[in-house]
Amino acid sequence: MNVRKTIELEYYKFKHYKPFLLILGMYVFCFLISGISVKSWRDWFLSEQQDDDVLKYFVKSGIPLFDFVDIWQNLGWLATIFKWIPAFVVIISVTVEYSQKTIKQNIIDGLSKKEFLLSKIGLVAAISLLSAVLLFLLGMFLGLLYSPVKGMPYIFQNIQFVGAYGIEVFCFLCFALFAAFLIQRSGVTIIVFLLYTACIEPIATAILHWNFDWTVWYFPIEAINLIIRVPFQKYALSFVHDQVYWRDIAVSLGWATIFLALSYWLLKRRDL
Amino acid sequence: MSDTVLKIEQLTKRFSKRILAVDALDLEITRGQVFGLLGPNGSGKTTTLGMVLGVVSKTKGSYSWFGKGDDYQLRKQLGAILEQPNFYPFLSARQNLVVHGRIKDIRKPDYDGLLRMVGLLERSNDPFKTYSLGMKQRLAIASAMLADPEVLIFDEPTNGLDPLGIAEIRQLILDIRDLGKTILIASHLLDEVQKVCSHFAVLRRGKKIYNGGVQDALQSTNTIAVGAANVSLLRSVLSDTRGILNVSENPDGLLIDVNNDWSASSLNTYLVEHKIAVHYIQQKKSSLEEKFLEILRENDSMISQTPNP
Repeated sequence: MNVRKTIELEYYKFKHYKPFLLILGMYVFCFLISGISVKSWRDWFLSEQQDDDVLKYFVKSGIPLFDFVDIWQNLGWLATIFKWIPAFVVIISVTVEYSQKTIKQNIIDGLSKKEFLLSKIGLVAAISLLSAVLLFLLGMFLGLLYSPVKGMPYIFQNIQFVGAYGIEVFCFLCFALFAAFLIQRSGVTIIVFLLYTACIEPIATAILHWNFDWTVWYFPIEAINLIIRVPFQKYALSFVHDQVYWRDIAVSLGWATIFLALSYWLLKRRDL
Repeated sequence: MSDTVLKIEQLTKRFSKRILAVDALDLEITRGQVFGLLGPNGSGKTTTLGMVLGVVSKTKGSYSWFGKGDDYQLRKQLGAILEQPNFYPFLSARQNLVVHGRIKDIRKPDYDGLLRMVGLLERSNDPFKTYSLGMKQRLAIASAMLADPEVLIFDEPTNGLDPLGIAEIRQLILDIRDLGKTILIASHLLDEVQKVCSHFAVLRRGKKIYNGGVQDALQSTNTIAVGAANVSLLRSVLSDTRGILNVSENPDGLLIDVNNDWSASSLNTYLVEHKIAVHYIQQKKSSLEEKFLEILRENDSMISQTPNP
């Protein structure tokens, strides 16, 4: 088994595939523009408000969005919205192999099913790494531009949110990978994936939590979304989650392992 | 290295309780053979190839490449196409070959040479989806040849092609055969197998019902076709001759069953002596098609004689 070979293979397959590059480009664009435009949004919001507005006073004085220490969690949480975009890339990269039967030809040519899965995991890992690097660059850029404090120890305090974001994207994409291997058709996979991650599980966990008093942190999407918690209550309430909890990381990585194992099992069991 | 390229023993594939696609198949292919796997549609040809190529899981039995077992690494030494040519539609011929080459761990593949061999060099930078079916099929052959493999496997290589495309693919296969490769072809086109294969096996409902050399199956028969201007004279002369077993009408003239003393040339000499000029005379050979149908008929009658348990 050759890890480098599987990554090279994925690179050869998709470096000329335009929809693939377009969606990835969209991801990078959305990611950067959202971070950069937050400042403009805030300024616009402030200019629209009356001078005696409480909210304006509050926003103006109280929210250190781009201050170092806080910036990593703020940006990290903001960027989690965009993790659905690379999920489509992962889904397409698998389903196109089924629809064109190239997975079959890959196996005939002498690739093992394990190597095939490994090449897709390589893609997932590469996108996750790219996401973490993007978050780091964006945070450095905005922080150095706007933060009132710029000391070394402040910059790298809470830097773990960058790593946590990478892990969050990785686990999320592993779920997308599993969905693609399970369903094999791109359209159906994307719809089911969207429905489950954005509707079914959030609604189900909400009902279970509020009506039946369940603890729901062990559900896959719930756990993945919890890795970087909503940072903004800290500016209004005294109750804060300003760190990454090992429990969330462990549960998410546990689910990622399960999804990859199930993908391998499906791949192994089914005839092509 | 042993001479056995592929050995299949008791290979079985059961898709469901009712569907038994391949039933305890034994097969052995040796180096240098051009082996035709024949059978009607749905007789288990593609399933058999799918199993030995690792894309269909086997229910029972075993297969072994080069006497070394069924490890996936051994498939890198094969060149195989199952059913349709499967390539990335958004990649060009060359880029597709790069992917295949990487899978097969080939150090320095001769992409230009291969593309020239199959006549795709000029179009090698266009995306695969713009190719005609014949071009796709030729690219498939190029990719199969990529690793300079000892063994090539084609499944219905001329399926869906026009006559010109069929002729091109057939010529390519003959060229490859002349390079001394072992070739395994699955086909339901008997004419194709007769033209290119040295050995063949016939599958029927997943069972092997015949296995042998093509030449042995195509022995000359004792039938001679004769055409002459005066058919009634010809008939009356022949009816008085010893060794003529049967005479029947045929669009070209007469079909004559003779015993072993006669051949086309001796019959010709004999007729000239009797002042009959023939404009057509040929010793009939049985075609693979006739042989194939005969094999299937024998098999059917055997099945109907065997009482069902």
